[in-house]
Amino acid sequence: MLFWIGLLLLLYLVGILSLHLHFLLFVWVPLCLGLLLVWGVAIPAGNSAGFGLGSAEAYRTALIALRIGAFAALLQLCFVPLLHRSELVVTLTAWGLRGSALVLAVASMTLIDDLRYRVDQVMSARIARGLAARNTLSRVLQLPAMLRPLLVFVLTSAVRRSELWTHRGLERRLAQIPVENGFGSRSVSVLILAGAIAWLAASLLL
Amino acid sequence: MSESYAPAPILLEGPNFSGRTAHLRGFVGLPPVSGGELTQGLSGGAFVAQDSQNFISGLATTGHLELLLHGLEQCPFREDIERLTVQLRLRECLDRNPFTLSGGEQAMLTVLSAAAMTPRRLALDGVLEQLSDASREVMLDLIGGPLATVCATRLADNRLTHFPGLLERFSLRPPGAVPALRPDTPWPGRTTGKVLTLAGIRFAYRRGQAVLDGIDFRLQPGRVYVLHGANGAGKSTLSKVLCGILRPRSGELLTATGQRVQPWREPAGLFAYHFQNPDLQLFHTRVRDELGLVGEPSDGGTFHLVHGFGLESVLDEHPLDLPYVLRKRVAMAATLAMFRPWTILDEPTLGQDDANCLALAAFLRRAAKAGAGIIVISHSRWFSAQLDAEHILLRGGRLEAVVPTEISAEKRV
Repeated sequence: MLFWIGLLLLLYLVGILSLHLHFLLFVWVPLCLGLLLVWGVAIPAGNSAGFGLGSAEAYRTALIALRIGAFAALLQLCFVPLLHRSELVVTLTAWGLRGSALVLAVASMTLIDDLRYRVDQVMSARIARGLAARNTLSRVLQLPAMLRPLLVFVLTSAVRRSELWTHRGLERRLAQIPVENGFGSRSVSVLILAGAIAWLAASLLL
Repeated sequence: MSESYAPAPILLEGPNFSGRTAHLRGFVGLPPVSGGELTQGLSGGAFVAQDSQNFISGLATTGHLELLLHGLEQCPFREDIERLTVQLRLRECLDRNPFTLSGGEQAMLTVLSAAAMTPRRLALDGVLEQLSDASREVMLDLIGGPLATVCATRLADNRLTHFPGLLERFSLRPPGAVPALRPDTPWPGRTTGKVLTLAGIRFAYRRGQAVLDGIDFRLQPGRVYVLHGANGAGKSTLSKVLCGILRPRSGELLTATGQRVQPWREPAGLFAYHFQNPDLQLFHTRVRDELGLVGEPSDGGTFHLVHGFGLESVLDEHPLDLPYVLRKRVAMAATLAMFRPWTILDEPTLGQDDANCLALAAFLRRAAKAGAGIIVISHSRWFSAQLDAEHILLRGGRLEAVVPTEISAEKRV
């Protein structure tokens, strides 16, 4: 309990508690519910057919809990640097990433943001062209039609960015960003990473 | 323009397809088109073009990190760049993800990032066209001032050609006939504009300051309106509200009979919107499909647009394979081909040379005379003067002035 209180306090102090809660509420909870539905209701081989939540409880609870815990911890681990938005590069550099590995890690994480904004822009453009309405259902129905422009975007931006990075030597420059910049510190980053690893370990072992 | 303006930067003049982009790319060691081999021995250069979104590294989560990534800390004129971010009202933007910035803000950030590299050669291909006059002057002061001491700069900019004597010039000519806009194109629209009244339109992004702060205005068909304002004044946001992309916090949109229209709730089909960045608006694999042409373009309104925008030779091309100037035209023609009562064109002249701008202005005047509703967002006073338009000036999200004739000293050609 002390561990969790300490972690929550730490997250609050560095100002990212709301981001974590947002992540838990909108990513982790729906994910867990989905997994429970799939794994909890699924009938293992050799058992009688029917709604098997009761029997699943008997012998699957531990496995389900382990899977959910491990999955959530892995996701949390992956998203920690994203929550530290203003010092993503600094954090990764502090963790020892350099050169192409650093570029790859940073680019793969910023790509999520990039794609999110691109989806928003393409959706806006489709509404402006009369191809979609603003309501949620219409947006969901637009997903298949959006795949092509998004794929084209990913491919063309990959070509353009590779040229930009090479021409400007951004790989070399990325590693030269001073570590002291940013609002947080190396120790906070390491503590958060340690927390995520501890969560993973606790999920697997307890 | 300041007295200390150095003559070092060179402005490349010439019509579209005269090879300015290829020249600028070659100047900094890039192949003529994206995707080729880089020229050896010409490292230390930076190139930024109109599609400034493609010149954001994608490696930085904030604008400030983008500048740091490009070497702001080591830059000999770091203080100048930091001062400029205040002058250009970019300070708050630097805390945001570069991809969330407006077109003008992205343009400023990419130029400042390139400057922060302290490159030996800098090539700016039309990127300054997206800036207001005041922002462009600030940028030119940087290019002709501290940057000129360490860097050779070449620019292509269709708007700067209207300021003779400002920069050293070098002229290029196209090798032969090129696809051009045709000034005699009639407006093929079947619909006419409708009177609309904007009453107290307010909009703010979540947790943010109001971007539109009570806009009251009456739109009359048969006129061209030009929305003016500095970068971030709310021009694009107002357009998105009118199109129903954004929902205002309060305010109404009323027809002449007093009927309430809510395009953000259900598309009323009143407005078509051409985005500043054409690449966002191109969804199909052929220009023909983008324009909604079925079969051979033998008749109908859209064919007039194809002819008028000089697109006959590229109908079967992939839109994204075309050069920027044609991508912009395809996106514009596709928007106009919706034939909505009102059409909003966001910076329609980006990448277009003077002849094409004049042809476009003539076309839009003709469309308005035929009853269409046209709203143009433009930083080019020269182009605005060609439209016989009513000018709407936005400042800080408020409607500051409505001027029925040209507000600039520039005259219609």
